[in-house]
Amino acid sequence: MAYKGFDISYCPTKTQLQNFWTGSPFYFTSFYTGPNASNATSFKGQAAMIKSIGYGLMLVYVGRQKSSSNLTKSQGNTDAIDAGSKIDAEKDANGNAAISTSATIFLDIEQGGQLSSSFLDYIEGFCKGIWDNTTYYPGIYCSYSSTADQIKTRLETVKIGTVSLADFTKFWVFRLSNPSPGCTVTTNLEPSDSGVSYADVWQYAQSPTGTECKITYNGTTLGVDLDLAITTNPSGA
Amino acid sequence: MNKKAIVPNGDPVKHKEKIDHFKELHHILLNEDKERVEKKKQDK
Repeated sequence: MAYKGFDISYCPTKTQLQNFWTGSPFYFTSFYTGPNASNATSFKGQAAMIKSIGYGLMLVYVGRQKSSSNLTKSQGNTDAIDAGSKIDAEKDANGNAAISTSATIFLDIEQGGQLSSSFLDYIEGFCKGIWDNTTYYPGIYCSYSSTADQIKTRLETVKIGTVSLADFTKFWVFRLSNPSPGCTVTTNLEPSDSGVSYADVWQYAQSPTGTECKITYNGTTLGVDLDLAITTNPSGA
Repeated sequence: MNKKAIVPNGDPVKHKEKIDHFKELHHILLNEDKERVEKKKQDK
C-alpha cells in the first residue's frame, strides 16, 4: 500500500497546511532548503510547525545542477555539510532539534536522462559527504528515465566496508508520463510502478506543467506536485 | 523522534553503527506510520 503526499516549492501557511491535513489523503509534504531552492526562506524555521500538524517530511536540498560550475566530489562534500547544518538549524519552540538526526536529505537533480561524469562526481561527493560528515542519510530526487539507474550504479561503487553507499540512499523519482494517473489523488499505484523498482517515492504529477495541478481541501487551494511513497515520512524526519 | 547522532568521519566502527542504525530506522518508521495514520483519522 502506498501513502499519498504532496510537495510544493514554497511553505504554505499553518492554516493552509491544517486544512489540507484534515481534508486530504496526504500524509507528508516537502521542506526545501539549499542555495538554489527558489523559496527556501519561506521554509526556514517552519519544520517544527509542519510536523506539529502531523505531516511526515521530504527534506530536499537544491544544490548544483547540470550547468553549474565546480561539479566535483569536493563541492558535493561541501554542499552536504551545508545541507546538514541547515537541517540542524531547524528547532522547535524550546530550542530542541525539530528534525530527526537520522533523517534522509534528498539532493534535487532536475536534469533527466544521462548525466555527465562530472555531475555524477558531484552527486557522489554529496551522498558520501552526508554519510561521512553529518548524522543524516543521503537521498536522491531525480528522473525515473535512466538517471536513477545511473546514479545508483555510481553509488554502488562507493564502498562502506563490505556494503555500498547505494544500499543506504533513498530514491524519489519523477515520472509524469504513463502510467502516471495525472493530477488526481485517486490511484492505487505504488512507487515501484514508476518504472524504478527500488523507488521509495514517486512524484507522478507536477505543478505547473502546462496545466497546473491545483487541489482544494477545506477551502484552501494549492498548486502542488503529487507523490506516492512507501512510508508516511519519506525522510524519516 | 530519533536523536541518535552518528557521524562516521572515516571511523570504521562508526560506519558500522550507522549501518546498523539504518536497519533500526525501518522498524521505527513502520511504527510511526501506524501513529500518523491514527492521528489523521482522529483529526479529520
